[in-house]
Amino acid sequence: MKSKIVFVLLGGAVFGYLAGHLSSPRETVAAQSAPVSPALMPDQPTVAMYWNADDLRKMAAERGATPRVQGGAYADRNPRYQPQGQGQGRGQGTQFQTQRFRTHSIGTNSRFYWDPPVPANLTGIMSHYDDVEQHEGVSDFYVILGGGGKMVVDGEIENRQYRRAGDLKSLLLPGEFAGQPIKGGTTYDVKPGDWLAIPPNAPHWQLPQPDGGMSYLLLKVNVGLYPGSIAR
Amino acid sequence: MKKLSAVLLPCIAIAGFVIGFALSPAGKVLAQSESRPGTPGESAIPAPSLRQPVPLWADQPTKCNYWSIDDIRKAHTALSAADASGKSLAGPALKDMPLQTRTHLYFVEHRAAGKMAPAESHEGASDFYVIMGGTGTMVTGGEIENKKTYASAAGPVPGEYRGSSIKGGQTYKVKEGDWLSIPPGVPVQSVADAGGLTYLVLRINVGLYPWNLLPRS
Repeated sequence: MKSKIVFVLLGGAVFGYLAGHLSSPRETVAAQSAPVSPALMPDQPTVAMYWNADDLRKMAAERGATPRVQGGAYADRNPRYQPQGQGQGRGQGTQFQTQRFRTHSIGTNSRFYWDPPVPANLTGIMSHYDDVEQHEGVSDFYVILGGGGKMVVDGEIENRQYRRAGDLKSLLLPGEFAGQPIKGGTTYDVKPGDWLAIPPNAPHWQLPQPDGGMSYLLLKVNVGLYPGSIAR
Repeated sequence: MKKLSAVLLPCIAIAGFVIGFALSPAGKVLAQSESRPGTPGESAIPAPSLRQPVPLWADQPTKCNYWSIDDIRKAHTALSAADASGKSLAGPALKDMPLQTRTHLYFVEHRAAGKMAPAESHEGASDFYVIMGGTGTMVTGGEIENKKTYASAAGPVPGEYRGSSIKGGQTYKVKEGDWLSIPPGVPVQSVADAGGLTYLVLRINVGLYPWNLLPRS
């Protein structure tokens, strides 16, 4: 009987120890006290990047001379358009690589005048131009690189609908809208070197010139509404 | 009894079928199928009105700002001339500058010829530079020598550092139209050639700073 009690007591002690060990916050506390150096700015570049104006102008001229197939890749295949600095290499393509972070993205884009009209890139409306866009969660900064044309900002988007993540059967993107044309709005004649700062929610429509299209820097700042995956 | 069972059994089976059908997700599956109404490209969910009654983006501009390359070049010329004459400009060199929002800030910075700006780094902001005019040298990366926390008139600003120079950085010769991206915490220092150097800084608050700390220089 006595040995049975001892056995039970011992068993209880072992059980208590194991339960206490497993539920103790010791390791969690230890992890927090370790001399770690957490990044206080997640998903940001760590080194500077530099883009030379001559290369950017050449890239724009090549894109203007050989427009991409709508929805496809640009004709330029030249690695020299990558930024200089160790920060290059987000993605391994040969085009200008968009640098995308939690708070902002840095990229370039080119638009073309389609003749004859084609189904527009986002809504499928037959048009000479790509669709008007409206983003509730990002502010866009444009620097015109090559070509030119007009930029229409504000006004009302006709045939306005949600933008989709991909093709016409893919998911709707909250806060992203497309359509065309714009009714009203302010029209700016834009040329290389010009800047535009487009606030969130303002409809904007590029009307590239027939000869050479319009190429530009597009720096998008996520103003706080979007998950990074939508801010593009 | 046998007769009753023969009647009850089909009744129970039918009742079961009806309950099963009503509770099945077939209706929902059908709603998600491609045979929903609407033309191709048109969303089944109509887009909300263009103007929301309550803006979902605090402290952002409501109109587009446009700056032509002619005005950008004139701003550089005016700032360089002001440096040469020793007089400051009466107003901003470029209209609508600086333009500050909760998330980002645009401002124009000019470096006088031959004057070395202090080396600086910002823990809470990512900078994008567009060179507006003139030529000069930008040094980035490396380590700030004689690094100190920046002290504004109101006191030290956490996360803001200044120093005399950069050791071990990368040097870029810059001119009109060049771009640079300076990440948070990376040192940068600019030196203008003869004629001065002017550039736009688009400073993005990466989340660390209260927006009033987002520094302008």
